[in-house]
Amino acid sequence: MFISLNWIKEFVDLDGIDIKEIEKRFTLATAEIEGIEEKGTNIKNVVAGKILSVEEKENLKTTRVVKVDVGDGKEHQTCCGAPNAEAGMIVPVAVEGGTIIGLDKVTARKTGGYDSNCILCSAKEIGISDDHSGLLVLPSDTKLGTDIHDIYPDMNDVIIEIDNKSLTNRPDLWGHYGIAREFAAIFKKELKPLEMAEIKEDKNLPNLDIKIENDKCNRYTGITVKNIKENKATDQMAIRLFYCGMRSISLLVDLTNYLMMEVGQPMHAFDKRTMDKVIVSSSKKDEKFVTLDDEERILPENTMMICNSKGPVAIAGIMGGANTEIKDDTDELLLESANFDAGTVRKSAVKLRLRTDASARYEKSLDAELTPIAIKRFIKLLKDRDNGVVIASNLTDVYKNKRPEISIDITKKYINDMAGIDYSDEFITECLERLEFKVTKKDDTFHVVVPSFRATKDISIKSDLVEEVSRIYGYDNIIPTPIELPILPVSLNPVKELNDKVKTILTERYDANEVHSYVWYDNDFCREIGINPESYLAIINSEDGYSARLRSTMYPTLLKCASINAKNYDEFMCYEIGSVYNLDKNKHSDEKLKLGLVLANRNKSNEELFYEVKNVVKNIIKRTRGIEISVKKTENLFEAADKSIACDVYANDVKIGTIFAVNDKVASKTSGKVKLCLAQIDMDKVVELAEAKITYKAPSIYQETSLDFNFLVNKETYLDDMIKYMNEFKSDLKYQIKLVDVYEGKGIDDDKKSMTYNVIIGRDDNTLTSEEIDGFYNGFLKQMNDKGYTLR
Amino acid sequence: MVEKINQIEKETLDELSKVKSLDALEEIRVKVMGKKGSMTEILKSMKDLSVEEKKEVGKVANIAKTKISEAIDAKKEELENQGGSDKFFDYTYTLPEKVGTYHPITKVQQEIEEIFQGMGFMVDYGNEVVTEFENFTSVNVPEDHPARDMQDTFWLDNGELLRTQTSAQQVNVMKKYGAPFKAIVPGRTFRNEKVDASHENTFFQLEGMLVDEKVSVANLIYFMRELLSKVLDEKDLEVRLRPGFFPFVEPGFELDMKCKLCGGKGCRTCKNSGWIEMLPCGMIHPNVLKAGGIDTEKYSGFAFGLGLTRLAMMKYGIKEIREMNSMDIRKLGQIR
Repeated sequence: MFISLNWIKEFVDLDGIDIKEIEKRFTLATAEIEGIEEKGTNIKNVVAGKILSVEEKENLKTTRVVKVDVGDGKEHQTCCGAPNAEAGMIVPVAVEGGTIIGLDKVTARKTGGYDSNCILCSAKEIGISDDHSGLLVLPSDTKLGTDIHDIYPDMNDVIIEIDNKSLTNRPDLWGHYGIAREFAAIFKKELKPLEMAEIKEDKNLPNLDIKIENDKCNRYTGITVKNIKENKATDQMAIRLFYCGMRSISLLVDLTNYLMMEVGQPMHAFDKRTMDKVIVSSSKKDEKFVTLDDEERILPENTMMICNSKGPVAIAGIMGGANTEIKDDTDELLLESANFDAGTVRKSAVKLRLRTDASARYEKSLDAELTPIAIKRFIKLLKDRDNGVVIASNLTDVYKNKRPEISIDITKKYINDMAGIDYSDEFITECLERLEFKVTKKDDTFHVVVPSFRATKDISIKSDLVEEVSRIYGYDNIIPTPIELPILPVSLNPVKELNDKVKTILTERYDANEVHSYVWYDNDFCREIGINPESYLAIINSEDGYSARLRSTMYPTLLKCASINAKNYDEFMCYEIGSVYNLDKNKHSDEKLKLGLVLANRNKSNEELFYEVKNVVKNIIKRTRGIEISVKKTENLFEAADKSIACDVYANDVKIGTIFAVNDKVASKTSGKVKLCLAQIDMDKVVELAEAKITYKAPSIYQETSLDFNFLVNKETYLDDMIKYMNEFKSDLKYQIKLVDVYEGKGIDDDKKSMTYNVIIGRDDNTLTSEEIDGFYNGFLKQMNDKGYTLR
Repeated sequence: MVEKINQIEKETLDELSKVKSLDALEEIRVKVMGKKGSMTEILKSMKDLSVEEKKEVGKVANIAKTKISEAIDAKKEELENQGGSDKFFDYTYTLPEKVGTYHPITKVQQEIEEIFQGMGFMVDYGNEVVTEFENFTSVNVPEDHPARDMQDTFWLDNGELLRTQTSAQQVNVMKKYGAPFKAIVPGRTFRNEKVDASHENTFFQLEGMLVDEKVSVANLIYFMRELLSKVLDEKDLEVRLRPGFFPFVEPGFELDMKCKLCGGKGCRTCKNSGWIEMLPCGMIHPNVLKAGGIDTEKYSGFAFGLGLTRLAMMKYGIKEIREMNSMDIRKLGQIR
């Protein structure tokens, strides 16, 4: 929002305060100032001049030769393209050396052989409007040679841009008067009252017929004014509006805008001829309406509308209709100053995709007390401009929802404890009073009544008052103070402990790369590689057309990761610890933390990759939980898996994850010749596994004996099954079995493989005798032979 | 034969004097003294000699053998004492290696988590999919607040949403620990935005809370200043508070840090203001404390939010926010 300092100075005297100081104090106390622009001072050596002659020349196509008199006795001439240039006209002339918008220095030159040593200016060129249709025509009685700044004293101004976002909770600051009030409080200056017309009830005048049928209209105040002859705003008003980002259109439109920017109250002027009555109601289904920008809009059902007896004439709080617009010949108007519910206006503006200056203000929750004030101020400014206007109705006011007054009881102790400052009673009272709070003190308690313009949503509780006092005191004046708290041991979060450890193992031991991804599937990618992963939750309103389905497994993410990196690397291991989402029986999201891991290698087989990944997983669980994993056949195979090279991973009989090689069909589309193996580990289950205790075991002090067995077994024998069977062997001796080698191929039948085991046997209390060794050997071998595991 | 023995002795001793490595020494030993070595062969051939000859040659041979053995031993000791050979060795060669990396956010997050743990804060995470109550209502966002609008939030088909802020976890944390407590909640958050070089729909935040008796704005300023000094590794850091509006705090602040590039004079980085906006913070709104079951007459506290993604980008000089979720290890595989 743009704020004119000239305008502000109408209400508060800021003389002697440096603009830098204003910027700093306002930013610290109220809202962020985004920029400060000096206006007018960049226009130099522009004076009033009279056009003496305008001559067309054959060799000049777009310009004419114009002679001007600027009262300095010299002859000035220029080649001017303005269509309205006419002898006798008084216009702004930028003389040699002058500066205007778009030209740093006016210099003498020749155009088509004709001297040109000055420039005749449009309003745009002197920066007071964006009108560039022709020369700016000055009053005929302007003294030649008068500096343009003396003709338009308001063109010199300082424009402050305030960050709108930092004003969202301050409806009172959406107009100059509110900002002036803030300045007055910050700089301890007096705030001048807003000058308003006195409008007395007159029995001879009619009341307006106003009916509020929609209870989201809090207040509707109206008046009619007739006999309006003047059609143009004052230069001052036009320049201020322009500097604040609006265009001057006509006196009545300008006045409504001016009032909105001054007191923050949006207003609307209807042509009285079209308004027999005012009804605030709601739109019907599929109703169409032409707004005053001449757009036909389909109204969402139940949009709050202003209507006359025939139908809608304005979308409440957003925009008026074309049907009741002020025309050039309008000399009687109905002025609306109303208060609508913030949420209702905002929702309608969003649905209609029509956010206006008015709706932006309404959605901040405006103070309903403003409506008659705005009308009285409007009438005052209108009468100042056109003293022939006549008030044609009583000020009619329907006040449907009046907010209750808010008062807050607060003690000095509360304020000081929260601020961490020792404010005095006097300071607290003075601060609040300067912000127009009413303060009475009884014993230790301040009874604070919140002014209506701060009571719409901004201020309602004690801590709001702490903020008011402290921001005026200045946060930069608060001395940073350490907190004194008892020192207590902190419990560490087991999820963090586990995550960090797993990341360290993967990154630092296995040299894997950690990645982050999106939590939804990339649909195009899934289609490309021919998978259709399950999803239980979908985004219903994605802005960017993202894939709308949240992931229920990490696998598609891992495949995407592989596809990106296989382009650049022949081998890599990537991982992410991230969430996947399912639904519980109540249709609530059931979110689980997973480790997703992909191992890729161009030069290794799926089997090799699988064993590597299995070892990584085994190591992770052993390191973090001290538990040996076991594996079983996969229950639910992911569609991209190679059916045979896959397993589920268990720890303490709890399933904690799955490992599989990616089948050739999907792999070839994902990463070409680079083979892939994926794993997903359920971190939520791993974190719950009790960490195995480490119990120290001293090695036997007696000699142990090592036996080797080389068995010939069926090719389709699982190592785990065999080891498990071996370990079922009952013996008085302690024994430990380890696989040494697996061999298949030459010298062995096609359906067999050779498996060599090393078995260490021993006793805790003695060295083994040869009988014991033989006894173990024979017994063990017999048990193996029973199962068909024969020595090779 | 005696001559031959003497010749072998001479030649061997000569060779030994030039030997520079243990390997070469061993070679000589084998050549002369090994099973098929020249000296051994000679000794073997002695069996054909007469007793007299055996006596004479044997004496010479034994002396030669002893000399050579001693010379070899001496040389061996000499070389071992030298600590290796003078052979050319390319110590500049490096084995091919792959270096594992962390995601930039992990590093920054772990650093910050450790700073907070060192100050006695609990670390908590919470879910990414949350209810409207958790994300908005519990943290005092009014029913018709624009933040609830469709355009900012990813809404899900079961009526829940992807959290737009780690603040969604505030009330859960309060209920979990009860007052007094100190906790941080780092995690992934989401905004329904179009992605470009400086906008992401998925990014990381860190929410921090401290609730105790008599916690004040003055404490907040002190704490945030010390924290930022540590996080940014910057001494004499200057911070300032200015009003900022967030429904879950009252008073609410934007915390600025004095621009270190220009020392507060104003430059491009700080948009000429001399200050850089760092984080939103404030005193926790009584409604939020109440929702967390905390006695607002007894306890107060402050909360703040740190943009982990932004901090990580600042720390490593990453310009494009999109790279964070790119999964491309050419870009991300740099953070050891």
